[in-house]
Amino acid sequence: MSDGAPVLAVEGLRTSFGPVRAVDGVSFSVRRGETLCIVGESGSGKSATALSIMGLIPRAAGKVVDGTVRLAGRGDLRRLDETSMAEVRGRDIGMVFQEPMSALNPVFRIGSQIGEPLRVHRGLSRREAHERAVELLAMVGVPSPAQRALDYPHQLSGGMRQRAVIAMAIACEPALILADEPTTALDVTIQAQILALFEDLQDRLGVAMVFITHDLRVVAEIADQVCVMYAGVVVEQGAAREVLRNPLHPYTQGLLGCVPRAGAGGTSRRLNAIPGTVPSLAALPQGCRFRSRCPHAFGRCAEEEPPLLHQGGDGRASRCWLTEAAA
Amino acid sequence: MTTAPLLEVEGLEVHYPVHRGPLQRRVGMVRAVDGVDLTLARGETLALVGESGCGKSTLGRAVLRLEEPTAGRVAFEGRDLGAVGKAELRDARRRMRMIFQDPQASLNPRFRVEDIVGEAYDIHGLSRQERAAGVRELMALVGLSPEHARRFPHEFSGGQRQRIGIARALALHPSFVVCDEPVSALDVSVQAQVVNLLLELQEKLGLAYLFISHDLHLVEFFADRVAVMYLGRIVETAPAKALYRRPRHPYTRALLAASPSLDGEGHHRRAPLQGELPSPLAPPSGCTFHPRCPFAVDRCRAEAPPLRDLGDGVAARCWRAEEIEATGGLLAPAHA
Repeated sequence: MSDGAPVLAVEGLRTSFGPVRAVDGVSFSVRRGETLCIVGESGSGKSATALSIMGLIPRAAGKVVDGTVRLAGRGDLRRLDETSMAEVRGRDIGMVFQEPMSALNPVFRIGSQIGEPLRVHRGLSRREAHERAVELLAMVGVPSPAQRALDYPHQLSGGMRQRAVIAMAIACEPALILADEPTTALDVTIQAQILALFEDLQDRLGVAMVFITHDLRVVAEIADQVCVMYAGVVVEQGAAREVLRNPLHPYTQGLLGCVPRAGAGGTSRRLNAIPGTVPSLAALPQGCRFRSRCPHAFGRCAEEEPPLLHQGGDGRASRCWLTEAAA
Repeated sequence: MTTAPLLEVEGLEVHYPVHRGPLQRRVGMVRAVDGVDLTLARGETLALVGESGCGKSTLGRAVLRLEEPTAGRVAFEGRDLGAVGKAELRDARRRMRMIFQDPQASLNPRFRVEDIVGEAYDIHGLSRQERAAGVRELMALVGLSPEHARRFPHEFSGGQRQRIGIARALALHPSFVVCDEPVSALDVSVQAQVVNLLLELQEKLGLAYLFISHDLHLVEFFADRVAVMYLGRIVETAPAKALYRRPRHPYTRALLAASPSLDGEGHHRRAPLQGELPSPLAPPSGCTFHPRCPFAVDRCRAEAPPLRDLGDGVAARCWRAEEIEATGGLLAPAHA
């Protein structure tokens, strides 16, 4: 399914918003045809990671302070100027966000919006771009695409809007799709349709995908690789199947315990909730960031923050001292 | 001891007129809730599931008479709420409360927690001492520290704010609480804490819940019985275990198949439901689910099926429920 050099390789990425280190040393890579999920709760840094990759951290709010973001054929994106970066965003990386309306301009017709990157980056004429937009709408499963192309965004349902955004994202045949919670705002039957669409497009176009979500069940459905983030760092990463079946980090174990399923907790009928809340990034505890909520914390966890400790091959790693003991 | 149900809903309808155009002419009616029957026993949890726009929230509000029903009857603790006077309705409302999805939006940001939680005491005329003691007790009950009673909502995390909303709902010893998506705005780890709190409170206080949710896995874990809604109607109702083991209505089957799960890889690849919810302004003829149903035949397009009793507390609004089940859902789509 995946082969060769990575399409995207992120190394030691750090992003600060003033004194707050929202992304604190994140590394991962994703290959052609592969889906990497970044999973975490609010404040974990998963969306800040996505914005950092795209060079979209608002200058007034914060900046990427360290690390490299290498995209195949483009080198380190952090070294590109704004003009080249705009080209990367339109052509090499397709973006899909949670709220499709935030990616669509309410006063332009759907077809002209999908065709815009083709005119800007591929030099297509207005007419060619429109014809291609209709084809793209058909490809993402929008019924009567020729008519829908003439609609304005408000005339489409939420699911259809997200399909239109996906059509726009794949218009220039990008090497990578970066999707931030693309199904969170959708109903479950529509979510299933969109997830199936992503997989279908991936099979057909061989595109690599970084998919950000808070939902471990979505990870189980679509991910090849997974990064679990907590308070700005990756606490566990590896093949999705392995991480879900045999989680190494107590936070991953805790998150899995929180997912409701029939008969959870046996006769006591309780979920295995993680006590406490995510710490404020402005006031992180010393040592391991998860220690105050961790059932296994011991002396060393308070003194020293564990690095990502690798276990076995295959890039499996966990940021926990107990991983070291187990290895 | 009375054996009458705590809550009885019969033929409940909530219709909204739709106005369009420069003269705001009435162009139609949306049947948000279209003939719903429900019963709920003391201490029981009935879940209402369905996709957005199916009418589940409107139903929840109409049951509490926060929304005036167009037709139908709601009886609570033996009293017909449509027939009682204002004073009696207010009295009933002490015992039937609501928890909202977004604790941020449902708490007044300028009120201190003690005033948010204690407001019900003021309305119902309790003394200052009673109020202060009540607030402290409620905060402890929902796992908040009573010393924080003088803080404002923004000083709490999302999960704690939902606890404040729960404390407010419990102030006057209700027997029935409508929970409208109470955990969907919360982080996964915090969701589990609030779910556990709701279960604990139910055991301690004997509460009955009408639990409105779109999360089928949560409902399977949480509820005793489930009612599935589609376009304002209940299409299937069953004990939670039975619903998940043997879904009878094609829509319930589709919802279950579409729900991602930790162990079932690639669920969504199994032919997700085609199409989208039709416009509630122009619902389809016959069975309103027929345009999306893989099993629809002529009869489904012509004649709306009633909610048919299938035994063991299960009822489904489908002409072909038995046939579909007999073939394990593999019945070939019938072309008529």
